Amino acid sequence: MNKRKVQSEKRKVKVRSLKFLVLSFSFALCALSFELVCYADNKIESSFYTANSFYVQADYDAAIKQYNSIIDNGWESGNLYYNLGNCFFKKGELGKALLNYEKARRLIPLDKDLESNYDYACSLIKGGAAVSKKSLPVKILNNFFDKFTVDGLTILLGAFYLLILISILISFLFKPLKKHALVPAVFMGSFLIIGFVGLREKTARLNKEAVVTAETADVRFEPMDKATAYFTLYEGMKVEVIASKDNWYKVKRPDNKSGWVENSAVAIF
Amino acid sequence: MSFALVCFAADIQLEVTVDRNKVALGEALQLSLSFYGMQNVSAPQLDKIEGFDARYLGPSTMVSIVNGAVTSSITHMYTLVPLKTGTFTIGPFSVDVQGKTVISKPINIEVVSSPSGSQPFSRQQTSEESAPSKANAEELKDRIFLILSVGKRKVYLNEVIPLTIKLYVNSLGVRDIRFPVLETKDFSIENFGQPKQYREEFGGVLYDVIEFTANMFAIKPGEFILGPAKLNCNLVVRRQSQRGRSPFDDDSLGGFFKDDVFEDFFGRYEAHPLELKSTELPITVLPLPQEGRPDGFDGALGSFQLEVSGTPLQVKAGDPITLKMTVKGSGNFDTVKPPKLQSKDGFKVYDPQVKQNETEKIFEQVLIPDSEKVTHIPQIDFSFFNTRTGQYQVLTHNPIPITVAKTEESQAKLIELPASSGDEGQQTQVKPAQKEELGRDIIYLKNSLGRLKRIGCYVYQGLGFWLFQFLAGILFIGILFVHLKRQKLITDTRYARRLQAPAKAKKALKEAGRLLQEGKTEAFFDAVFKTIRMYLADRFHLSPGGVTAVTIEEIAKEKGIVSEVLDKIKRIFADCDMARYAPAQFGQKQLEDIFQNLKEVIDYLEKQKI
Repeated sequence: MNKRKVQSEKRKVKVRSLKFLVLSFSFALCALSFELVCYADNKIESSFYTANSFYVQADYDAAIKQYNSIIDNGWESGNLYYNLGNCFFKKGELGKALLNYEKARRLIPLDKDLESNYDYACSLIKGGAAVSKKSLPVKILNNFFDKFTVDGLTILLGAFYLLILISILISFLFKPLKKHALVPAVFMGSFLIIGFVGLREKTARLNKEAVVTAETADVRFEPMDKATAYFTLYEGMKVEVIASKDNWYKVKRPDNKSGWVENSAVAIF
Repeated sequence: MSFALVCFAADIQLEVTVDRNKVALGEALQLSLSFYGMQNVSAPQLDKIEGFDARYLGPSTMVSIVNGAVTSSITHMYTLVPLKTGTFTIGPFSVDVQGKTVISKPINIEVVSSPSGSQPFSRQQTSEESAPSKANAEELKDRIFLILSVGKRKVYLNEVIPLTIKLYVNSLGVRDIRFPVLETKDFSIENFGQPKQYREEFGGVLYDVIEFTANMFAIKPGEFILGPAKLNCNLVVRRQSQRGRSPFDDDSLGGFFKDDVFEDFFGRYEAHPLELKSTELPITVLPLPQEGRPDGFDGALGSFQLEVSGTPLQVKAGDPITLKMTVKGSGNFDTVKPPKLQSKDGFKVYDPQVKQNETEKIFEQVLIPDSEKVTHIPQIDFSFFNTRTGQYQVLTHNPIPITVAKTEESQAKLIELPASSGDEGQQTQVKPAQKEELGRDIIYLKNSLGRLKRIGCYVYQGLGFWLFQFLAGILFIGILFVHLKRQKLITDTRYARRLQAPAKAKKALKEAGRLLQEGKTEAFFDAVFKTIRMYLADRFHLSPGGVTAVTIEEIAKEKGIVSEVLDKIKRIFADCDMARYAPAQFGQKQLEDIFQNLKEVIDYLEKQKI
């Protein structure tokens, strides 16, 4: 009996030690990852503030380099693109400035400073803005969904989905509340459907839009140098990329005119 | 003193009474027509009674029983207001009652000039002096009358004429005096103003006078009759008071009735409605003469003066000048139109703003000189027809010199700002009021990184997001399913019994198995019988008592249960029946077979989708 007891005690101690080891390892792993994250954050923030100081000194190239170092590490933020856009604007590169403002608009669409800078930069585009040929309801919906980020809209739709489920459950479980619960459920359901269409549209536009970064770019009927020029794009203009072939992109203007342009003249975002 | 006359007509009697036979002007007496023998006699329509104005007061009915004899009566009462002095005879009255005519005898009444008692009571005015006694017959219309008068009898079209209506009252109480009414289609009459009250001697008699005045003008030429003006008021008349009664007055039925009901403190005076009419006035309305009619005459009538002023007189081209033109005087201001500029060249002219009061009409007109070449405001003419002289008249105001400077378009408009406190108002800052030019550039950098995220990573691409949504959906379906099932168990008894049947059967089989093991044969059969009966009842939604071999056979046919199973069920029921009488004849092997058969039957029925 005593031997058994001793063996059982030993086994218990072993299990305890093992548990302790696993816990310690997990804790160390967590701490390490936290440290790494903090280190990464600190490094990013350091680069950001360094870039800002370069901007103050009007050393825009250095500032752009610092901002790009953050992007090269795989991180982005609306404010980062905004500052980068400002750097390019100050350098006189309107196309790249607008490219970065466009990227920022996808992340901080409601930012007033960004809106102001974007409008000002757009006003400097040569050739003027092409008139969109989209119908009024589509324009209204586009303007509405432009106020949301992709993530924001996704979370909002997820929340609506949950609220609809809860409303339906309430209507089943509590009969007196059936009317009160079903009406908002119908409204939320309608918004959910429209929202899904909007989200699909937004995600479809990811990496399908481009800004002209060259001073001017001729859009041709065919993807070759000798093809007839259809129209000219100016720096900062936004186009939709609908196809690609070799080093050519087929682009479409808001007025639905489309043609081929060299890919070096535009930057996709 | 009461005076009564009684007339008999078959069984209906008419009695006519007055409360006294001597009355003063300004007092009233009461006339009663009593019909004895019936009560459904309507009020007789009294013809015009000479010297009196009669007004119906109302009926009064009475039933009396004297020594068992029943007498019913109705009395119609009237107020008589004397209109002049003298002795008058009232009646005889002739009334048709149920096809028969009853006739009263006449009554003599003396109307005297002034009452022997106190003066009449008046709320609005009280004559303090007694009326002058006259030897001649006096009429009420000499005590109260209306006089209509106008300023002129011969007027021009649209000329303003003062209209006066006077109410004269002497030694009478009058109240509730309304505004006079003058119905005419030929004249436009303004509303009457607040009336004036004063005393005036008229024909040697002092009267209280109420004077109503208004302006009027003729709207078409011709010969017209104005009036009569009408005025409604209430004459306060005194009825006989108790104190004033003579001890010799007879105490007849009418007198007694009147004293009791009507002669209280407040009832000694009563308002008698009176409509007064004035005499008519012929008026001649002349059209405006064509001769001498100036150009630009707009129909103004009266006697006027013209005053003109302009401010400012030194302006830049395009700046406004306000021209104030005042037409003063007397006349019909409604006919006065704005004075006319002889020429409007070089000016932009706006419609004038008009202000009007009783003695003047002011026109404020805005003129804007087009260019610096304008040197004066042109001559202004105003023509009217002078109703005093009967001739047209033209008022002219000479051109007003003005200085118009050239507009300096390039020069910014200046505004003066208040001086700073230290300068004590001596100096003023002058700043340009031109549109502010704002610079434009991009807005400065963001000082924080904002929300960082991995490039190309979106929430909708994350497994966690979709897993969460999926689990939420599953949870929703689960809760819904459980809820619906519970609801069905509550509401659908057949379903509930069907669902619970195997569980109950399993429990019962276990119990039967235990009894079999323990060798309790009777209890075993009892358990088997209960189990098969309960199971079949639940399974096919029958009452436990309704489970018999016959019903089971019918159900088996309907549901397509194989005959082998049906036989087993029948055998189980038969064995259970047998065991009630001879339980000892079943051996252990047979009991186990029965138990096995029971299990097989339940298994079979559970597997079948019946």
